[in-house]
Amino acid sequence: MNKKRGQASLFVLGGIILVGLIILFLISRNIEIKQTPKIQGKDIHSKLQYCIEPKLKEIIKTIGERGGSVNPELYIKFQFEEEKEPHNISFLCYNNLYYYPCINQNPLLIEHVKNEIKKEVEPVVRECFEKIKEDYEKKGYSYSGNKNITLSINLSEGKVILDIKNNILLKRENKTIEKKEFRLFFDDYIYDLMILAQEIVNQEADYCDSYYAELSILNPQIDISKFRTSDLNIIYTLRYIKNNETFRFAVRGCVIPPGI
Amino acid sequence: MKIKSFFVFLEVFLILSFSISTSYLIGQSFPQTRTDSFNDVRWILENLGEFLKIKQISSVSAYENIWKCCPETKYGARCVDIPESARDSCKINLLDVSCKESDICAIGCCIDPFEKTCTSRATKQQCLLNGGIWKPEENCRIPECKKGCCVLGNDVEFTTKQRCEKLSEEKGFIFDFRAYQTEDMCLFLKNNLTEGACILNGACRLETKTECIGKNGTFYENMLCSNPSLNTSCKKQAYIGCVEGKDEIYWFDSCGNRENIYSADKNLSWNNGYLLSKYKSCNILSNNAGSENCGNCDSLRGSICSKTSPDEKHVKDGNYICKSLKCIDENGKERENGESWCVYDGYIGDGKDVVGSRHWRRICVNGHIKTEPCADYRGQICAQSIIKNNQTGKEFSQARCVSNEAIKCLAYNENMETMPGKCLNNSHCILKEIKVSDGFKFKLCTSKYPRGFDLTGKRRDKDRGICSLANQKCIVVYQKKLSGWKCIQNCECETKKFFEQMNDLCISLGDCGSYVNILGEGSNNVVVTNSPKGSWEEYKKYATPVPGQYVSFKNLTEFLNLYGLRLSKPSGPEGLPPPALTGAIKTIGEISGGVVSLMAGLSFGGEFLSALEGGASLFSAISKGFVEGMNLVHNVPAWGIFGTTGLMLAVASLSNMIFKLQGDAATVVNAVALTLSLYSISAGIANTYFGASWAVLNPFLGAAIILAFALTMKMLGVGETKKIIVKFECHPWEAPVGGDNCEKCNEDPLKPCSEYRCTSLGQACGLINPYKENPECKKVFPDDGKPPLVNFSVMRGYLINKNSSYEYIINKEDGSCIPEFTPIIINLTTNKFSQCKWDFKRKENSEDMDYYVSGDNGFLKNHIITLFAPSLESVNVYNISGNFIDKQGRTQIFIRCQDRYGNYNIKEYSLRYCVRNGPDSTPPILFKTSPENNTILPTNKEEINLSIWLNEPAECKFSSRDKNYSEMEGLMNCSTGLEMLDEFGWRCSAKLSTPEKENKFYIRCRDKPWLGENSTRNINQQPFVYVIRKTENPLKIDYISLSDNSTITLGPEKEPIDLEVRTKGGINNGESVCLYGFKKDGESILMSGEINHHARVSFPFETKYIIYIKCVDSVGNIAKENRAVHIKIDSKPPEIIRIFKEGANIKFQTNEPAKCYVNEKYCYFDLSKTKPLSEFFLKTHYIEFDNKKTYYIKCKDAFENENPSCAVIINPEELE
Repeated sequence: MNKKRGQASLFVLGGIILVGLIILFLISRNIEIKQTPKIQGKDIHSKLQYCIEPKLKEIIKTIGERGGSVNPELYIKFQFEEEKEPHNISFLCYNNLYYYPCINQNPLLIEHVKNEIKKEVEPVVRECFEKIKEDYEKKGYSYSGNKNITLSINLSEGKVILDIKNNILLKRENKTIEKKEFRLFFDDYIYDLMILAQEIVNQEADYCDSYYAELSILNPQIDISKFRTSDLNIIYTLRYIKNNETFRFAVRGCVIPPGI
Repeated sequence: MKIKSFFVFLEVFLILSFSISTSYLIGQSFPQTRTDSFNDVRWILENLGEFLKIKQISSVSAYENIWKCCPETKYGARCVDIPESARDSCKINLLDVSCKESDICAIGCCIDPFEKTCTSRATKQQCLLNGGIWKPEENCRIPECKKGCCVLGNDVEFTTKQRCEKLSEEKGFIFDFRAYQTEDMCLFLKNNLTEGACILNGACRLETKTECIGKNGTFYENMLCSNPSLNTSCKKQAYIGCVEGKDEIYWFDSCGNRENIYSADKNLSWNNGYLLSKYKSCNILSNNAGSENCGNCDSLRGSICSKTSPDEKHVKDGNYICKSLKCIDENGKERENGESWCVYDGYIGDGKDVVGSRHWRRICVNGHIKTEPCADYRGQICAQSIIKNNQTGKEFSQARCVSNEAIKCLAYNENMETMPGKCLNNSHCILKEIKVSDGFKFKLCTSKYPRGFDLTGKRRDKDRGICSLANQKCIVVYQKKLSGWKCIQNCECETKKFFEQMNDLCISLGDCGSYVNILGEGSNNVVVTNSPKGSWEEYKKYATPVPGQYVSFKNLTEFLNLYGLRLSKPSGPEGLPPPALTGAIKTIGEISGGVVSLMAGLSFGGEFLSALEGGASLFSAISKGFVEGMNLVHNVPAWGIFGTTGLMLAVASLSNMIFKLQGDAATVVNAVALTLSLYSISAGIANTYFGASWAVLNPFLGAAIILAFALTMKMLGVGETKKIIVKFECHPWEAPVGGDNCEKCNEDPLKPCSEYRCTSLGQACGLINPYKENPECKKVFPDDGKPPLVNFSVMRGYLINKNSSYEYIINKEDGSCIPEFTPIIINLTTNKFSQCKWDFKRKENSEDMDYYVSGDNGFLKNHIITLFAPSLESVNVYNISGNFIDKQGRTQIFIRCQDRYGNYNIKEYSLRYCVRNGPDSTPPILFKTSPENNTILPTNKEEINLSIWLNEPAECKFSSRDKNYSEMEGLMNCSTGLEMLDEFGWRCSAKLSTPEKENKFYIRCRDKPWLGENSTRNINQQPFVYVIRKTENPLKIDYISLSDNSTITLGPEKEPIDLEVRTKGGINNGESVCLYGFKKDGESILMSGEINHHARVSFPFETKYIIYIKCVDSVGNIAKENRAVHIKIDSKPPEIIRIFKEGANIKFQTNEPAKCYVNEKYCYFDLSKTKPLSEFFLKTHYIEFDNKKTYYIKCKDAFENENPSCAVIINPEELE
């Protein structure tokens, strides 16, 4: 009799444990799904770098494909072979009249692009700081900051530099970390491409033509191509060979109409 | 102003003035062209909009095209000129002026204060809004934007001084800027910088001297860091690699410092620890592509350092190789890096570029071939030059897409006197000489590379206008001989030669005529009447490119010619074709003149006789000889014989005149007269000497015989003439019907398809996905296999009744026949785009029919037929050949229409109508005048050539007072022949004298010229009053900003000078268009402004120029002035000409006023960060004498010409 009771108890216990394990398993899966991924990086600086970089690259890629603006005002809609859909490509130099040389529509191109990047990257930076905050709070830190975040962008050869000001104070037990400024460097060649783009635009405005092939030879790290559209516009594509980064823009000037 | 901008303005202006002038000269058939004087600038201004189309904004009629500046459009463009009528497309209010004249949209140079870059042609508004610094020089030829060589470590960049400062600071280099350099000098400098080992704090780096000294390091010129004598830790030749910014493969030491160019011979490379220049390294004469032993790559020779994988070929000491940057072109020929060449679609030049063709430029760039299409529609052509190395035989080609000057070639025809010279001096032009016969010859300047047309028909009217320049008539004259009708003038016009030469001219004007496309397929687009026609098939060969054929660049002579300059030994063709001979054909409008003069000569027997070969001498010999003879004989009064002879010939002349005998008839009569004269002379002699009185001819009998002969000739019609009008009509080229070849446009990836190319391949072809990189050409119109359905409608007052499916009858509303000499407009509509033709005769197919409906060979849905029938009585008078009208007064025309696939109605449509029978009781109606009534002329115009067109043949007279027709003094010269109908009617012309401010003329016309003085002729009861006015005040140039014979000094950038001109007077208080040029009656550039005119004038050379200024107002008043200007170019920096000690100072003098700067360390210091020795530009300068110092002096002049290095290095000790 006792033997039978013991067996029954064992079965019941086994069943409870089994059910418990199943429930635990299910619960732990859910927890894993809901958990936010950890931010890479040992410190705030590197965490910020890792967080911002993918989005920044995407923003710069978009700006590069569209001639320096996220939403160009004066543009031509065009699709190249490697693209899945057409894009609006900004006219950097434009004249609606036939025969007349184009007028530079964006004389301070680099400043403009800096502003465009800044405009797009600011919400990303804020978001990244929020993620960092969450991350540190999970680790038991008290986090204060993210109230007055200022951002400035600088472009130079091979680099995009973000200067961020954000007074952060982290505290845990006896440890206090304070950070006020962050200077992040990102490898990017958009500046190099734009300097050359400006040179091409100047030549188009001055001479109704550009020595793009010669510029390509003098700058072997950059491939430059010139494409004429059916409606008498020109699209230039500058590609940094090392990483395929592209800057593309349109020009309309000295248009010669058919006939007389 | 750059040359390309100069061409841009010139093209626009010359197109417009040409269109008017040519139509005036030729009287061509373009219905919208006014045939006013070419000085009608108002027409130019009004129609400016036609040539300056806005993308995305539809153009409006000429009268509404007043252009104003829009600072920002709704589609995002800034500072664009748009017509006032399109103001809604502007985001904000339009400005009152054009952008060029506005302040905010003024174009200039924008300097980026952050990046220190300069941007050309930036608007003031955009520049300032974004924080830039704006200067009014639109091409940035200002000192701040002057570029030089910026040394940044071992790299050299061609950039501005300000940017050099920025980059130096950013990269941590010492500022080292070399002014007055070109890009290739910077390249050279890059390879020749003074480098060496720089030891600082125990570490060694290979650096430039400037860099090292700037860091206060110890510099060992030309030494490698691994040089044992330096005792560094750097070990030599540790590994090899590429260096960014350099072409070659280099050795590196263990510290990571670059050493010398790689050579498998390590000792050679090592060079005992010293730097070895590229030019002394291995294999300098080769590019070493693929070499395992030498890493002396050279991108300019076609190789560059490249990393390889271990299994690829590499140099002996590492995975690197000099990779070849050469290319292999489409013909298998090796091309150097940077080499470019032209590729064409077919034959080029001679006006024979095929329809749809384009010029292409190919370039070898870093081992890849890039294709650059020149502007479509042959707006650009590819020009090439080949440089040959005579020693190696190697060739290097350089090509560029350049503007096609086709428009200029046509514009030269504006002035037929200067045209041949200008045409021959422009290598884009060809002087077409049409010489079919002695009476049909002329010259026209056309383009060697005619421009392509929009084949979709969007600019059809303009295209038709261009093609119609080749519309010509040749008048072939026949005379009735005793043996029948014989051609006596312009006979060759009835041969194939006429078509060949005229079609040649036609196709050289643009996409016109019977010609072919890039596939060698074509169509016939000419109408030839009364002469054999050729076919497009004769031109197939032109669709194949000719190997070795290319366009050459313009030479220096042509460029200099623009500025009125010549080389010291003039090159080019000597002399021009001789001016047209009197009586020969000078202008196209005078083609028939030769015929008229000949016919005039035929009319008068006396003159004809004198022209008869030997006739004159015969006549004088007869009279002289016999007079002398008779005097010898005695008693026979010489005058008697003479008198008889004279009488006979006089009667002959008179008979000829009365009976209007010509040619053979006149000859016969004169011959009879002469025979009788001779007979009477000899009879007289016989009588005198032999008593044969019976032989003496009674002079009255003789006269009677002569008269009888004359009458006989008259009845036989011998000597009569008739004219055959041989016509050539040149129409725009239409693609062949169908669409089977559309896809061929997509076959060549190196020649992407375009709309022009695609639409030239077939009527059904169209470009789909034009906004993709590889658009496709496909059949875009469906083929239902059916001919077009045709519908007819007629203008008010008339009816068109369907008699059967294909037969229509036109009558007046009351059922009567249509009146004579009255145009009846019939509208023909089709259910799809169709080309419609008509003919008087039934023809087998559409191709054989002679005429295009509306005179337009285009594929349209709406066509116009204008019926215009002469009166029956006029037809009966003239010997009109053909089936123009039958005796019953009924006629019909046959019509066929074909669609884009060539489906046409096999059974023709026919339109029947009858012409009213009975006397014509209406006087002539005046259709048109040229110049138009109430035209205002320039002040100095003393006479005009008036042309009027009437609805029927007539004779017209004019007077300055209203009088009866018979009393009017002025007789107009009228085309009275029925066949002399031109595009606007029957023409009469006269020269009118216009001495007064207002000149009024009364014109009356009388129809039926064949009736002579018959009273049934209708005369205008009401005269046509024609008024011509003149401008009160002449146009004058009131002010020019440049003084005559002034001297202007420019800086090295040769910044353009402002030329201001002010006009007054003329038709509207000085409003006019002004141009300037450097040659009298040469190429001109348009100035901006209407009363105050402005231009920026460029002077490329240091020499004397004469600037010719010409202003024209809207009615043609002209004002001219010129100014001589001596240009000096100061491109040299100041030189120090004298140095000496003066008291406690060193005094030195410069050759020109300058500002000088001193540094006590070295020469490459920044002037902008150094205080000058004086505030002003002076010739004498002072520095403190201190014999412990060395003074490095640099100076610059007022044009910012700065010494690239030191002007002088002063060691005070040497002055003591």
